Amino acid sequence: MKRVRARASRIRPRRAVFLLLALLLLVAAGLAWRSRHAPAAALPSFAAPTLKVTPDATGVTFRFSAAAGNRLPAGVPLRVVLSTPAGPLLRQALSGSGGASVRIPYVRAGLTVYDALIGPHSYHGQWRRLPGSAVTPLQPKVGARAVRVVGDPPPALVLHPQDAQQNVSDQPVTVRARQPDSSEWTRQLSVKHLLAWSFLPVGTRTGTLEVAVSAGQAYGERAEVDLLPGPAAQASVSARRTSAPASGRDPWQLDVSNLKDRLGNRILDGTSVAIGSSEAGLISPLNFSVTRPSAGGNVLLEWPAAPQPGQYRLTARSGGASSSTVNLTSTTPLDVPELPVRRSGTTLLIGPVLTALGALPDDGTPVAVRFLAADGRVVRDDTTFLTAGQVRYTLPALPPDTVSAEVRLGGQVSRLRLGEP
Amino acid sequence: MTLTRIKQLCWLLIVLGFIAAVLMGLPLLGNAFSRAESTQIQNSALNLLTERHAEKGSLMWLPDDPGQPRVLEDFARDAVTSGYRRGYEELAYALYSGDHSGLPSYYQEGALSDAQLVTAQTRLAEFADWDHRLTLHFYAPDGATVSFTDQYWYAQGEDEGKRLTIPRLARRTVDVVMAFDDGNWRVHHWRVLADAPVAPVRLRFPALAGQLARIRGVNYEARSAPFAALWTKFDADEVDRDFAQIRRLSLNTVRVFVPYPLPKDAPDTLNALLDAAARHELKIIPTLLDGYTAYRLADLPRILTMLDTLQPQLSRPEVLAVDLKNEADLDAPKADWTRLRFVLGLLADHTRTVSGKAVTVGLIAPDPALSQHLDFVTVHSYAAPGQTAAMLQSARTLRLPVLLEEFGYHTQTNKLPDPHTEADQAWHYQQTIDLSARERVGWLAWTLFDLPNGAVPGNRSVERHLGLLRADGTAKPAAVVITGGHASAPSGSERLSRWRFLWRPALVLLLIVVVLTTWWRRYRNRA
Repeated sequence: MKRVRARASRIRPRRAVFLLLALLLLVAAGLAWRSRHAPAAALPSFAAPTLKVTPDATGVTFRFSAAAGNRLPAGVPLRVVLSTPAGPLLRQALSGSGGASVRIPYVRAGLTVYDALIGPHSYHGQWRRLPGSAVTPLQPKVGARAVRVVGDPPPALVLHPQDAQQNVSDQPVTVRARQPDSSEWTRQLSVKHLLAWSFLPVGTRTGTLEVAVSAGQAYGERAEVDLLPGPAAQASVSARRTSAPASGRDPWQLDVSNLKDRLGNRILDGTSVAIGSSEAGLISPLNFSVTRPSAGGNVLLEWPAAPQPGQYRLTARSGGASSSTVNLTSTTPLDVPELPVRRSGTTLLIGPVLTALGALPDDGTPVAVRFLAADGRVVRDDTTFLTAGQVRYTLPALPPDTVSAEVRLGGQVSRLRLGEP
Repeated sequence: MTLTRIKQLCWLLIVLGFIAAVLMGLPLLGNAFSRAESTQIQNSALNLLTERHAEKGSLMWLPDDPGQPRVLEDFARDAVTSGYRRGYEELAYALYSGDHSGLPSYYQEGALSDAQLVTAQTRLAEFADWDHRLTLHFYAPDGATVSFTDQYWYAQGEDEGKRLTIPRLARRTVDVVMAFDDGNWRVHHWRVLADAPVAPVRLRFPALAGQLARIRGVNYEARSAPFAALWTKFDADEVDRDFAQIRRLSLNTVRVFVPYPLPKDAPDTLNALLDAAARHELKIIPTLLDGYTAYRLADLPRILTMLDTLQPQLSRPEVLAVDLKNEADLDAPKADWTRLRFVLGLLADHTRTVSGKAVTVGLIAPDPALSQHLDFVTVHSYAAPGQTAAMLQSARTLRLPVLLEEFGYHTQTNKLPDPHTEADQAWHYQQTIDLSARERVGWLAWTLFDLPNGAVPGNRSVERHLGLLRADGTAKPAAVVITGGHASAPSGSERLSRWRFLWRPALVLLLIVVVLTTWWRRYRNRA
């Protein structure tokens, strides 16, 4: 008996706790289910209220008012949908006692269609908002930033004058442009398909084109376009030094000038000018061409005369312009009437050498030395240099069949048989 | 303190601790659920985008205005088109998901203000746009600005649970300015010039009621490839034989089912079906959108493209009428009637325009709101003839021609709790055909063959036993009825014979019961 009672006392508290837990869970579940499935409070029926739609500068207000002699109950759900190009704009609210209103900050100009629903009553309508006056700052877009006065299409101005709500205004736009020669140009543009545009005049002179826009009381910053010269249409070439020795000591000097476009504007600094030989009436061919950038409409060029003495013609070209031809002369580099050479042991003594004028040639003037075999074959070529008109040239080790040496300088050739002392 | 008290105290502490854990954990769970729901919504929105991006032919350029300061190069036109279309994709995503972080990539200035305002205020909105026709007015000489007018169709509505509230379908004309910013084209300004629904041109079919009343037809599924398999394993010879068989049954109309999405060669397959119908002097009622149950606005452009693709087939003289969707009322619990009515109504008007044929939606019982877009209504009934009669009479109140588009009776002899014999089926057909004659309503039986192979709706076994002809092609008594024969009500013995399949199992069960009872008695007696 005691054991049974003890067992019973052990079981009862646990059972009580489980029961309590189960009861708590049931209550919680019941509350949750009831809240999810609570029947919607039935709204009393009411006559269709009147709807007034009032657009203003910062949005639109939908105001529902109870019909005459009727009540609009409170707590009625209402929704308004605007059909916009960005999709449906939905606003929801609940009615207060006597009326309801919804305000939507939608300010886009153009046609807007709406649908409204309050309780079981639906409404449909539309309004058309006109854009307001343009506001400062206007933001003209001028393309391109730089144009040539010859050859390029003119720059264009594009403008979307906007009101305070970012609507493109329909106000006409006034454009004023001032050219580098101070002449002014004015045009009034109408706004079509959300923009106003026009080509801008470039005139004939280079410099800066200044553009200003206005629309009513709205203004924008000045826009500028750099007016650049066109490609070269004319060029002149002359030589400050037309004759130079073939040694390269005193170079030719060419002056390309008068580089201008078709309208007489000096071409842009940095425009490339190509100078090359002209084949016409040629005495001697010259394999030569060079390209240089212009500066101030000029190119000054110095370069050594042709190594082969003779007459040469050169021409300058840039863009479509080609200059006349200039004649240049390359003279014999060194006029030496005599070239004494003798052998002293293992040394060749060259000189003393004097020019036709009786002067010593420049130190460092090269002297060519060549060694030949009996059959005329060149076994060695060498170069040595004059110092005070002379050279002491130490003979190098030569093949046994070497029979002679040639020394050349300034068109003179001296030969020496090596077998002789 | 006794041991009992201590135990009680421990249990009390455990219970209190559990309650505290629940109270603290529920908000966390709610938060996690909310995040999961938000992610799921964004994923759904992205799924809509994936399908949008696959659309073709939803935008075209009309001839440019003459006198442009610069001709719009092909590469620039492609870039403008791409930026414009992707902007709408981003907008559709933002409208549904509420995530508008991507909008500045496609919109600036006033257009961006509008897009951000709309997507901040609106959630779970559906917006579909299609058939964009653009006319270029201006392309700037510096290649950085374009202005054009866009005319397009749109459909919108709010997804409130399953309901589609305040739906709208309209054609809109809008001026648009796009600018080339940092290598991308973006919409900067827009203005709506016109926005209105366009009433469809409603064709009239004065002879329709008579044509429908004369329909004696069958719903067709090929034995070797029923339902969707017909469109991937099409056997022209089998179809030709089956259509010849249908003609021999003195039937004049065949209903076929066209799946959605459209299989690759569907236009050719439909042409082959129509060619076979022409050879055997049959008319066809194609039922479109088979298998489609979503009714999302985002699907509209693709469905409309499908209708345009099938236009040559749907307008053929072999097509008697077009059924837009089979038993859409079964989709209503999932998709909701508001959505069904809007989408199917819109599609019905378009189908009529495209095909020039009378259009219906193959509902089980007509819907008054949807019927305003239809040229005739349908009834599907597998119930007793009395109930079918009531459905037909109810359908008549809509003052449109009525077609009994589906009726049938299975012959599965071992179907509990309602087994049928072929004689039952023949009697059902007799009654229904007589009823249809009285009501002057055409009918199409479900279905031509028993279908032992392939997938059947819901994988229900009765669906395999609804044919007029057995799987081997031989005729059931019901086939005799439709060719002019007569069936009478099953006799008592025939009714009893329905349960014949239970005799053997019942005998076996009786035997087992007897054996067990005998054994138990012997056991108890021994005890």
